[in-house]
Amino acid sequence: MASSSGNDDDLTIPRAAINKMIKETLPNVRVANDARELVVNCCTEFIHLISSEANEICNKSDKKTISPEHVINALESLGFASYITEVKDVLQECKTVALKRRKASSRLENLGIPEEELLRQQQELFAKYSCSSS
Amino acid sequence: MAAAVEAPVPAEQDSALCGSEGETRGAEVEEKSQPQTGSTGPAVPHSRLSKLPLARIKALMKTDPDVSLASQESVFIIAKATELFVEMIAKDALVYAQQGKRKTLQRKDLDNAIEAIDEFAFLEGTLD
Repeated sequence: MASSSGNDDDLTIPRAAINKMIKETLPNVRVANDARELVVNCCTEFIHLISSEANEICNKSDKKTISPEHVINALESLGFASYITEVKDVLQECKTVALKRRKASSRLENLGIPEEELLRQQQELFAKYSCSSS
Repeated sequence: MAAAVEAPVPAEQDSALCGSEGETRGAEVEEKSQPQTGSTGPAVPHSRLSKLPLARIKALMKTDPDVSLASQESVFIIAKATELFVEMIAKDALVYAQQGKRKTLQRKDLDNAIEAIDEFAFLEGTLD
């Protein structure tokens, strides 16, 4: 099945990820293998569908890069408006996480510990752990 | 027919939504306890919020020659939409299995769901 590796058009979402999602959605249901295979292929089609539509929407706007808004509009125009609320929630979490990550990096820089002291502490830790491994 | 289709779904949908909310909240807690100091790697925090590999999704998008650049966040929400799609099609197919009094979801249940639901018309090419 995977004989032509390196061929872009054989890309799919990993089967294990799909299996996990199916299991979480339908916990006590047995699912035939060929049904799972079909879901994997449907995901590929879905991704192409949404990206293609989002791309068209992007082209019509004055932007060169597909943005979340383009994707959301694509979902709406393709009849998947029911996904939008959840997608927006998750987008918000994504932005919050990114913001926290940036804040955490800048907080670390402003700890007030001079670099030499940090280096010294680092050396101590290295020494400590190399002793315990040898 | 329509009434029968609607009945089992809402209750399941609620629990599925709660489940996914819990998942993302859990992912956020994980993020706090393991601060990624100085990490500017693009996909790292995102991989905890999505069940699907973002790199693969991006690669899939790029197999379409017309598709230009996409922001990381767009790839991320396409991932999320795909998760919701899987949930939706699985639940819709389940109804057909139940109508057939089967406990195993079979391919023909998906086929039926695809043919019956307008939004899934784009999938008719994947059927035999």
